[in-house]
Parts: sequence; structure tokens; C-alpha cells
Amino acid sequence: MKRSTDRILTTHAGSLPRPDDLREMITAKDEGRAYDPDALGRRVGSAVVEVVRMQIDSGIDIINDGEESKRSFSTYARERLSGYEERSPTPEEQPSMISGRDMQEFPEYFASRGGFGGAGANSRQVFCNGPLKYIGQAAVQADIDHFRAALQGVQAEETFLPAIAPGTIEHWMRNRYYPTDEAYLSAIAEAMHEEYKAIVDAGFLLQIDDPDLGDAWQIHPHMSVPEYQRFAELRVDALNHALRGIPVDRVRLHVCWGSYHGPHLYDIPLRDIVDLILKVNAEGYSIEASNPRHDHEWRVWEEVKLPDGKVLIPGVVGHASDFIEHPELVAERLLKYARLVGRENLITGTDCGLGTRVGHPKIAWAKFQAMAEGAQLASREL
Amino acid sequence: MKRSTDRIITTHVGSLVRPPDLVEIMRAKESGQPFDQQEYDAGVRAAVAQVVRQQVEAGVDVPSDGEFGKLNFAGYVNRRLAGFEQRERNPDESPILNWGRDRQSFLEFYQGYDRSSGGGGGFPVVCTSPISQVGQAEAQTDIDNFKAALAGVEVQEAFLPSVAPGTIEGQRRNEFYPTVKEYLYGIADAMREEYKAIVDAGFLLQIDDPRVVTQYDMMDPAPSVEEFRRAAALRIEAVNHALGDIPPERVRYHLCWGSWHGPHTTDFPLKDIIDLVLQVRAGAYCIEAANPRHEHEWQVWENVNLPEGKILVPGVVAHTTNTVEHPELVAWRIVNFARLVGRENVIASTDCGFSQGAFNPRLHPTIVWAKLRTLAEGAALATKQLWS
Repeated sequence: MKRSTDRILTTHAGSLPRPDDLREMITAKDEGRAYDPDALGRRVGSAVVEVVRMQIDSGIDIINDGEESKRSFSTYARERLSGYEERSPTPEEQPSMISGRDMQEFPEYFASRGGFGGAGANSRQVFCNGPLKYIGQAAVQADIDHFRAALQGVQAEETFLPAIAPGTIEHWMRNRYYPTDEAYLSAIAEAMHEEYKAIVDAGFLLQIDDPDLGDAWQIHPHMSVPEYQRFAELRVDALNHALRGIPVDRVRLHVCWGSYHGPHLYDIPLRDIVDLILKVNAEGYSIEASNPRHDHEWRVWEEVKLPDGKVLIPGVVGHASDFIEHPELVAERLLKYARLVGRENLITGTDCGLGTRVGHPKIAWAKFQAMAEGAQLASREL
Repeated sequence: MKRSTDRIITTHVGSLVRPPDLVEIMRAKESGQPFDQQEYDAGVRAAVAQVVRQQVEAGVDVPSDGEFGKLNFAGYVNRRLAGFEQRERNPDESPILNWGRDRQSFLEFYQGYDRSSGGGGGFPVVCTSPISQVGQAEAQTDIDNFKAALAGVEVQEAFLPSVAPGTIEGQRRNEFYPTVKEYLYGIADAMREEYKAIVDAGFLLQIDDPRVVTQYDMMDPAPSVEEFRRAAALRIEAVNHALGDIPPERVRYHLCWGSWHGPHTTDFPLKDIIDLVLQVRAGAYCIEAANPRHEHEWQVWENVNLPEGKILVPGVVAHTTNTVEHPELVAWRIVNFARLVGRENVIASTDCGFSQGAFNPRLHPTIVWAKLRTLAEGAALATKQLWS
């Protein structure tokens, strides 16, 4: 994994804006409406070419495919797994929300935003009802091929592809088959291992998207901190099982507290989960850190040592508002981190994927430019 | 003016989200539908009483009336100043002359934003005859309602906002006065009456003046820093002219870059105007400082001296996001300012009001109250650090 050896490198958390026509095609496919698979494949290909170029133009060093082929960072895995059914939930099966604790205090706010703080609910739910298998070989290969093609003739410092963590799959695909959580998580891990391996074998960094490490705390409002730590540790173990055999230096982990636009008053403090984060067999740790609920948590690194050889990728621009971060604010944030973890162990990141969480694609790109300018300012200082 | 002598005290910028029943009757009144004036008056009075209690419960030391008696923070003067008339608007024209360069750079974003926020409506207002104050009765009602609401609650101090001449001028074309200066001073002479009424009633007067910086975004092409400073200096002279002999220690001056939720890439840097701002004859300066475009500007105070006796009232929680600031972040921000200007010279506040117009709240009211509580918690944490 490249590090910031002579300047602070920049990257982001994964999702980038999708063109309207592509979004429409993917939605049609997801909802089982008629669509033209060849046309969709071509459009994904051209969209990936476009976002690769835009990332380079915006000053991003470690780039990805923008998740252009995926409807969401998480539920994309539906079409890549077998062993589940999709149906309406019974009244007892209503899903828990990643804003569960917030919703208890702010029901009117969430009601005013359609119930979920803008993060999109699905009335149909997914239940695992048989042995899980990975069947996404062709889909992940298509992502790899599109990204490779788009990289032809492009000079990027490094490249990554994101994939979802077992614990987050467990949230939206609930177990009705395996006898225990452990058995279920292990089965998801076995299945996803194939995808993780395919990405690394293709020569890309693998980014594991693991919001559940932070946001499952709100999904399970009844848990105490020690209970939650035990719960999360089981999911970290499953993730490490899924990562077995994959070189640690090819893996980065992304952790956030769910990107919904809400109060986040009840997010679990980073301090309570940082040990678990560092237990994941990854070299880079991308952590939400620039929105007003987590902006103060850079100070966690005053107490916690980033282990030798690891890289911290804090979010220094975010999706929480459509204001474009001032480059000097970006630089100020980077300097605080560099002083604590060392400049060569720091890469500039975003809080979460910006693609679908800001008011307009142009806002996302302007934020990336501000991020790159801020990284330059910080590099000069450092 | 009360200061943070033995702990960091808290305030906010003025406007709060009106309750739904009040909004309903205000809508009827504004759209020319029949409404019951007595019911309206009683509704405002009751709502002000409630919002004062809520502020005290949330831990606000220096509360306002929430601006509940006004339709909005600046346009309310349309009812209180003679000399202006409303015009039909051509479709390309901004209702309040505030479509600037940021909008041009992010046009598609703003079009979506207008749709979702209900912005972009209204009529331009033009000055066509000598300006005079005719809103004495309305201002007195605000004062009476606020006084009544404060009876029986304990606060450090209380403030009422009013709008600056330059902000009134920037939103209204002049077709009467021969020069900009005469136009500004005409507004200033008329507004002085309202300012004096507020101070004479025993309240702190807060002068709201976003336009002194937002005008920069409105000028196209972008003026040079010097050119813009000349324009701003004239507006600040007009504020001082309007303030007349009002004691500075009864006045706080609020500066922000406009509270709309946009990219704000063309905001004028604080460092380039702070010396002019400090020329306003006020005892305190309320400056937006908690959103991603201005958060770094606390560093301006590394190079600028807050003059002896003055108070800095920085925004440490913002209206720009639904995410509620962590109290430790609030404390961190306060301590940063306190280290630079002295703990007794800092009052913790918000970036801007939470509902600049009765019909356009910036956040859900439950989030607003959570933000004011986090402000108080953060101030308490900062107090612990600064007085230990």
C-alpha cells in the first residue's frame, strides 16, 4: 500500500456520483423491470471511464470505480449471493434502523424525512433461508474489467475497489437458516472471501466497507457498551475469517457511523470501538472524522497508538452539509492527525461515500478539489 | 453587557423555529386571507413566552424572542419603513437581489435547492421616496411581548435583533436617493428609532448584517479585495451612523455569510475584513465560525487583537447540518477562542439564526433544541477546562 512518503496522498471512501441515465437502468434491473444488459454494461463502462478521469482531475491519488455498477455500497451483494428470499416482513420482522437510538429521541424529525433520515428504506426485506453461496463471480469480474479498461493510459498512485463486510450484510439479510449467529456470519464470510480475493488478485487494493462496526450500536438500542463490544467482536472475527490468506498490506477498512443526515446524537464514541477497528487485518483504516459528531475524535489518537506499519485515513471532508470545506480547514485537520500518527502514516480521506449523499454531483467534486488543495497546503507545512 | 466572568455563558443569533399554529396564522396574514388579529396577537405573545422558557431550559444564558413577531430577520422592515414599494419581478431577477457567483458555479445544485427549500419566490422591493420609520407600534409589541415573557424566568441578559442599514440596502434597489451613501444614511436615520427603542427598553440590541460580507458573492465579476473593502467600509459607517449615541456596551453586531445551505465557495475571507468589522461601535461581535467554510477562521485571532473591553461571540454550533455537534467539539472550539482572546471575552453562540424566515426553518425544531443543549453542555465542559 502506498503511503504519504513525500507528500500527503488523497483518497475517498468509495461511492461517486452516478449519471441519471445509469441510475435509472440500475434501478430498473434491481426492481425486476425490463432492461438491456448489454446497454447497462456499456453505460457502466463509460461511466467508470468518466469518474476515473474526474478523480484524477480533482487531485485524488488513490482512486476507484466510483461504485458505478452498484445501486448501493451494501445491497449490491444481493445479486452476488444465493440462499435468500425477498419478501414483505411480518409485523414482528420490521427492520431495525441504523438510526435506532436517534429515532427514539427524534421521532418527529425522522417522520419529516420519510422515516429514515434520507437513507432509503425498502419495504421488502431479505431473509437467508438456505445455504449461502457466492454467485457473483461474473459481476465482480465485470467491475474489475471496467475499472481496468478505464485505467488504460491513466496515471494514478494506486487503485482500490470496495466490497462490503459480513456484518453489514447480516443487517439487511436476516438469518432464518443457520443455527447460530456465529455459523451465519461464518457462512457470509466464506462467501464474500471469494469477492475479496478476486479484487486483490486483480491487483487492486481491497476496501472493506464496514459501517456496521459503528452503526450497529444504533441498530441494537438495548445493548450496553460491553455487550456491544462482544457483539462487534464477533463480526470483526467473521471479517478476519473472510480476509484469511489475503495480504494485510492490500486491505483497507472503512468505518463510519452510517451516512444518514440526522442528529447522530447516540453514535457510539470511537474510543469504545477503536480497539476492535485495529483488530481487523488491514493496513489502512478509513474513519469518519469531519462531521460535528465525530470531529473531536482526532484526540482519540492522543491516547491510542496507531500500530507500526498502519495507515490512518481520516475523513477531512464530509457529506453532512453541502458547504464546501475550506482547504485551510482540511489542512488544519490533517496537521492535527499528522502530529499524532506521523505524516507518512496519514492519507486524506472522506467521511463516507459522497456520491449520493450531497445535494448535487458538482458538490461532491468541489469537495474533492477542496480536499486535494487542503492536502497540498498540509504537505507544504509538513 | 454581561460577560463570561466565572464561566462561559451562552447565547444564539436570534431566530428560532416558530410553532406550527403560529406559522399557520402568519401564512394566512401574509397571503391576504382573513385572519383574526386578536388571535394573532395572542398567539405571538404566547409563543414568545414559551420560546423564552424553552431557551432557559436548554441552557441559553442570553435569550431572544426567537424573532417570533417578525416574518423574517430583514424583510420585516418592509412593514416598518415608508419609502419603498413592491414591484413585479421579471423571471430572471432575484427577489432580494442575492443571486451571486456561488449560484452560477453550482446552478443545478441551487435549482434543486430552491425546489426543496421553497426559495426563489417573492417580489423585489424598491426605494422610491424618502425613507422614514413607521413601525414604532410593531417594535413596541415585540418589546412588550419579550418583557412579559421574561417576567419570572432567570436569565443573564436578553437581546432583540434588528437589521443593519447595509443589509436593508443590499436587498432593495434605490430609485430615489442621488447617491448610495445618502440612501444608506436615509435607512440608517429611520432604523435608529428601532435600535433606540430596543436599548431604551433595557435589552441588548443585536444588529444583523450578513450583507456586509455576502455582497461580495453578489458582485460579478468579483471585485478586488480593496474595492470590496471600500464598499464594506461605507456600510459599516452607515451602521455607526445609525447607532448614533447608543452606548456600544448595549450593542452586539452579527456578521455571517448568509445562512443558506449551499457550497459558499465565494465567501469573502474574514481576515480581509475583520479590521473594518471591529470599527462597528459595538461591545460584542457575533461571527459565524462553526461550518466547514469558516471553521478554520478562528486562526484569524492569532494575528488580530480583540480590542480591550470587547467580546467575541463565535458560532460554535451550526445550522448547516442536521448532525448535532458533540459537546467535546463545542468545548474544543470555545477553548481555541478563549486561548486567543481571553476566556472572559468569549460568549458561546451559534453561527446564525435557525429560522431566518417564519416559513423557512433551517432545521427541524427538535434538532435546533438538541443543538442549543449541546451548546450549553460544551460551554460547561469548556468552563471546566478554562477555570481549572
